[in-house]
Amino acid sequence: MMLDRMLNGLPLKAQNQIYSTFDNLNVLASVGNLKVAASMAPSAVRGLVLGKARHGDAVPMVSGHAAHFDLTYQGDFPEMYELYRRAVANQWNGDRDLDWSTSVDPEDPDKPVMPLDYPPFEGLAAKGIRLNQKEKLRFAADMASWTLSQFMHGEQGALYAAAQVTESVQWLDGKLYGATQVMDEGRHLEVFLRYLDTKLQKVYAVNDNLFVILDDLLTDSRWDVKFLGMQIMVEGLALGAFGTMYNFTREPLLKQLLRYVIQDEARHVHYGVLALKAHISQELSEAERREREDWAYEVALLMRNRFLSHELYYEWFEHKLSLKDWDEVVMNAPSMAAFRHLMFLRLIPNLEYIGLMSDRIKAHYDKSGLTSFLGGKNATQLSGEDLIRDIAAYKVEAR
Amino acid sequence: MFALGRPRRILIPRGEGPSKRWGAAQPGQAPRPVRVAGLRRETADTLTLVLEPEDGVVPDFRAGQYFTHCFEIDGQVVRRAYSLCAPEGGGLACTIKLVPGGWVSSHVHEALQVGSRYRLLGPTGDFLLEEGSGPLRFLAGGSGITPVISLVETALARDPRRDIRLVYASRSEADIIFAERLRELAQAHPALRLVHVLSQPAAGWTGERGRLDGARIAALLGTDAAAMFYLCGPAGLMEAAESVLRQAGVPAARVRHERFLAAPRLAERPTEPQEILFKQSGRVVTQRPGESILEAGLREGLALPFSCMVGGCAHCKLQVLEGEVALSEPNCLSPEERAAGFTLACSACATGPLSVAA
Repeated sequence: MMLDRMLNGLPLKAQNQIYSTFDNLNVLASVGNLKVAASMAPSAVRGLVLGKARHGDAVPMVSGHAAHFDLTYQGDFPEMYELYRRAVANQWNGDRDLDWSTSVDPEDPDKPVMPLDYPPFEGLAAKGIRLNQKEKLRFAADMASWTLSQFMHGEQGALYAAAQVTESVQWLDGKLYGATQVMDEGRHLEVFLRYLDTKLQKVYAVNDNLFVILDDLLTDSRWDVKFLGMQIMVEGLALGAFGTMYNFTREPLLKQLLRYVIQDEARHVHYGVLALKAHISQELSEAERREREDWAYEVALLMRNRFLSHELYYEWFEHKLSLKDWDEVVMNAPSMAAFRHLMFLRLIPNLEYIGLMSDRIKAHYDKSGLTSFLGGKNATQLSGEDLIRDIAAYKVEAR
Repeated sequence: MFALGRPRRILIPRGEGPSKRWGAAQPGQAPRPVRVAGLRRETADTLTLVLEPEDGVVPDFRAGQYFTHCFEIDGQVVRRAYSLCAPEGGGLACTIKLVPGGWVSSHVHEALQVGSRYRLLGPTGDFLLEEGSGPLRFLAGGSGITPVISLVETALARDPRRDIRLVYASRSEADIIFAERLRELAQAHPALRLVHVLSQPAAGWTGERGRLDGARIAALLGTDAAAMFYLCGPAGLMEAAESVLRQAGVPAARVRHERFLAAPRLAERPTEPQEILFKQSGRVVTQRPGESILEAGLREGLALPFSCMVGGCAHCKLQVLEGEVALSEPNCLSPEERAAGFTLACSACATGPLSVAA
């Protein structure tokens, strides 16, 4: 309320600067656990305050994790080895297996990459912003480019995280599997880049909040936090985001591309769940387990609340609408609800399965309205096909 | 130092346009994932697969065309061409006959279930309906009816009164594929004259019987030089028909045939890498052990034409300028093409240094 009063009457640009500063500070202040906040602070400063992702050609991310070099080649992990075999057998070829000759017009109303029921046009209209049909088609196409650009940036992060995790994981079968995931992530990066480059021909910069999460994971030296962050949290986020896009898009090449990617993601989460269940139950002290539990909760909330496509706001509405109003419109959009549903549908049962859902933290999830997903199927019980089926089923309910 | 005040980067510039490395993709190259949506038994040894593309988009195909089906059997990808049996504009359906001892047809009949997934290449094939409204004459034998029924139904959908004759040879009544569908089609279209000929009929059969030789084919099908003739069936039947039509003065351009090739016996492939010079582009490509000329060229990004990938369509035909190749048999190359030094890039591999006109 105080912030509202402060902003009242100021020019839009000044309103946005103040709102943005408070909002960034609020990211850390919203993290209830001080230890978690402290571990995230350097990344938040780099991403939100220093804006490291907004200029330059690259950002160095230094990690202090150790490579675990196996000397004895003992200790089979049969389930992980089985996943490795499955991953080797199911490698697809992004060049050969997708029909890149498909002609894509992102503004084609018959085969839209992003149909007009995805962007929050109703919410915008309620704030006085009305787009004509042509503008709506162009905005929807930009939203597709923005979303797929963020997928691509996420895949770049996933590629490095998968490589780091492969180094530091202590099971040899995990290293074998990890190598296939590195290949998977490289292929995902390739196909998203190719789609953006050749079909949409518009690539957006990485979103600050996504950058913060990736930076935090890639620079954390604790392998299991890296693992939890990448294999459970970010992969859960990816499933929510990819699944939403898969449901909405009517463009056949993108639909097939996402189908392949989602099927790979199912294996990735399965791997994370296997490794972490063993590690959390056997290796961590109760204090360490609690810390991971808190960390996962805070990251879950950040993921739920922070992907608000500010880049699109600055491109389209900076002079017509306040950033605060934009955030409100996006948070309440039906497509955002679909994204949150699909993300938590998978995330919560996985956290429960690996042992990061004590009664203590359940109370917090309950306050955030997320306990309805408890008891759902975890990654060890789901194939890639199951995921696609559940994603498609949500569409029927939601629309 | 602080981000505030810096101009916000929203887009990543791609000033040069899309990266050149992606190249221009050729249409129809990517295998299309499909799901078996239904299985329909037509006779004791033929099964129709009803297929649904995974992306929900039924590809455009012409009546009489076929897809190359890429099955994964025992960890290997095995390709076979099967004609569509649906009319133009219909869904995807192919009817496959069980070949005794056949590796792939046994897989289709025994292992495929509703929900099974595999990939298709294509469509391809030039066994197509001629534009126009003249008479059409079809001769089918056994599973040769599959592309023929697609052509007949499509022709009748365009013009229900078109003068069409279909002579269909089967072993017994129980072996007639699409028996009910053909009966209904003939009932609904008086202009369609349907003649079944059985080589081993049961005692009560009152229709045509016995083997079809040239004279009987001419009598049943007619030799109207103004008609278009479509032949699909066993090699002996087709040769007899071609010969009698030629003798009766039907121009070769008015006779179309579709040959079903037996499963290719893979030629022994070299175990060492081989260099191939593609003369047209001047590119030298190293063929890896196990690869065909086509696979090696495509891997290196050469824009080589191809379609069925099983030696059945000749889209990938190229001329050998120097060197030797091992070619899998049988395939669709004619004796004349072989004599002129042509080979099929999809079914051949270099056995030593090779130069080709492509």
